[in-house]
Amino acid sequence: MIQKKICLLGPTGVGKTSLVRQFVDGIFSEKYLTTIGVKIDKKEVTAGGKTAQLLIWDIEGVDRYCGFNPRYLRGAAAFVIVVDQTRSQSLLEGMDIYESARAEFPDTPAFFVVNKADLPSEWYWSEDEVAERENLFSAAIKTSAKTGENVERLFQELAELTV
Amino acid sequence: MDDVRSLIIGGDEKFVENIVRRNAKGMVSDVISEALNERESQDGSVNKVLVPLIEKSLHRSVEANSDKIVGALYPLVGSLIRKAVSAFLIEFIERTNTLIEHSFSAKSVKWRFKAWRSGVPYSDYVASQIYQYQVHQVLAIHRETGTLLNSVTSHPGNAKDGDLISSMLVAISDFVADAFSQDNQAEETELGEIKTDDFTLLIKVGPQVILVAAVSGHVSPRMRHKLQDTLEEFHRFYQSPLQKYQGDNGPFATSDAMLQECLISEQKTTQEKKKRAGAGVFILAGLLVVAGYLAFLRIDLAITSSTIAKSEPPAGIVMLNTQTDGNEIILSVLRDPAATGVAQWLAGLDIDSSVVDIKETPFESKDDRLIPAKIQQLTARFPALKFTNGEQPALSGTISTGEWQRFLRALHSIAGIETVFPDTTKVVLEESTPVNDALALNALAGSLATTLSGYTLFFDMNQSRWSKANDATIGDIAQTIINLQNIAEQSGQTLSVFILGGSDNSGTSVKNMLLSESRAQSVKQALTKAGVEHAVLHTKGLGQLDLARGSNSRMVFFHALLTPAEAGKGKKTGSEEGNRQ
Repeated sequence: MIQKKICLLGPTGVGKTSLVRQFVDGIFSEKYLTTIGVKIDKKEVTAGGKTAQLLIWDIEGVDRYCGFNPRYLRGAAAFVIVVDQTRSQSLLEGMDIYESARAEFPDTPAFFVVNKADLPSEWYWSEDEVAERENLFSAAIKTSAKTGENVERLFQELAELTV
Repeated sequence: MDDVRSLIIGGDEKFVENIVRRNAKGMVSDVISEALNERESQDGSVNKVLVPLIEKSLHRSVEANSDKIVGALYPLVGSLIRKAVSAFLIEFIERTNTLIEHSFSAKSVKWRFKAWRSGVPYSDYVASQIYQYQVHQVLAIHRETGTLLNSVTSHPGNAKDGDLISSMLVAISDFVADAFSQDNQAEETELGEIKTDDFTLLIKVGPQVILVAAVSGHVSPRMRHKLQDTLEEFHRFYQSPLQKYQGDNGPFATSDAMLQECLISEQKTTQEKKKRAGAGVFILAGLLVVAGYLAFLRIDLAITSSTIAKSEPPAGIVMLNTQTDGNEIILSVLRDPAATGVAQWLAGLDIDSSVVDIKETPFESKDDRLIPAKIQQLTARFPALKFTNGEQPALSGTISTGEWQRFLRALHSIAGIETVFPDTTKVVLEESTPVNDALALNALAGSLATTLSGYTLFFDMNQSRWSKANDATIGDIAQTIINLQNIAEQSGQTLSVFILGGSDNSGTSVKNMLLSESRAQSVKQALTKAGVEHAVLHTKGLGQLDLARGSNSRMVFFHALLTPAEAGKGKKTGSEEGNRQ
């Protein structure tokens, strides 16, 4: 079986853990997030006629006071930057994280996810400004961890890109 | 054909040769890698040619640039040496601990003999004897991605989720490296072992693969060596798939046999059986000891209970029943208040009263042996008298006539007193009233009766207990009645005190009648308690008293009636006189 490591990154509170919870049935306790800063779940998906196992590394939320451990991204087939469309600041923080990750791993494909699509967009970024940033990524997608909108699709596209 | 060729390339082929020679560098560089790979795959001759050349070049290079090469290799060699020394120290400490543990026991002597007979060093023999462990699962993990390459388990049903464990292990290792490494040493900081009480995750880290063994029991050096050897072997066998690894673990499926060699277990079945048998004997012995102790407690209790049942209780105690209940004896008795205490009686039998639950019911005993104790208790209430309990019990002291009368009445109320009546010849009576004249006595009695009639106790609404303000009055009333009774007896009269209760007109007349009677009764009880003879007092509820002020109707008042005594009654009786003489 093919196994792919996928890392989820983003500012605190944008819904990374909720996205994973929506996609898999968690096995490990979420207390790992606060102890070692990462929680790992797995899920089998079919992509390109092959069955692949995604090992999803849900990395603790990053803020201005606390960076992420770049070693967690080592060997990742792709990483996902998650932002929250109800908080303008999350886009800036997300892009900072993207640049830090990109500096360490220049060739790893990256996905851009705007989460909380079930809520009205409250950030002050225009569509053009968002689109400009989306262009830096291999793909961009709007999701809602609450309703499940596009969550399956996100991980399906990740599988198809990496397998 | 030869003519055509000579026309195109010339007679001596120098033209073509020159062109090829000019472009040779570019042509060879285009295909050299593929050509070398293809030739090596065909017959392995490339290595045969290159290895001697490289060795020769390396030798020359080391001779010429030894300082540079030593400088380049130093960090790598340093790391390897550190790991080797660390492994040696761990092994050394484990062996030393074991040797110390087994150096001074009977077993060590036995093992030394066996080692000598087998011709092996004692330390090796000890190591072979003491290590008991089992490798339950072995995981081969891709170091960079943390994905599982392959895993084997000794009990397939109990295998843990290798995929997630692998990833978490790598994450934990990264966390440890990041959290605890010093300055740029993160790459060298690797997790070597995770240990709980009896469970160890043994981790061996290679350049591309991490080998993890889940071991229960005491990990032996042999186990560590085996894991290290397997790790190196894994790298050697799967060098190519590891370099091309893109998440597909298919090529590593054939590593089962290699990993299964690490599923070692060392179990001393014979010793375990002995140990189990030994443990069984200990458990059985323990149970027997506990059962014996419990039986001893039960027997001890039964003996104690029997001792109590067979013993003769002291005067004034009647044993009803003894029985054991759990860890105590329940003893039910009737006891006269004048009798010896039950605990004191048990102490006299050498019985610890803490194991006896005493259920005591008071009663009045007619046992003759208890009479002196009862007289003693009664005498204590009359400080003027002294009781001597000898062969002939006797009373002595100087007492007023009234007090003496009261004492005698109380003495006669003791059951069976007539059989052990004390000698009263040493009691001196002093006349409390100097006036013996009948008229004077009558006048005094009349005065006291008037005083008594003047007392009134008031009550709150619907209460049968007098107001608190009247508490002190009860004592005065009692003393007046006692004095009046003394005078009456001296003057040959019989005293009757009527306690008359009244109520106001609120509520029904029936209720008021009951309430007034209740008030009179409560006053009678209080007076009796204060020392007034019960027989003198008579109560009567008058019901509603229609007085001008309703609140004044809630009262108790008194009336004293002095009547001529019947012959012989109220005077000092002949028998009492006789007893005093």
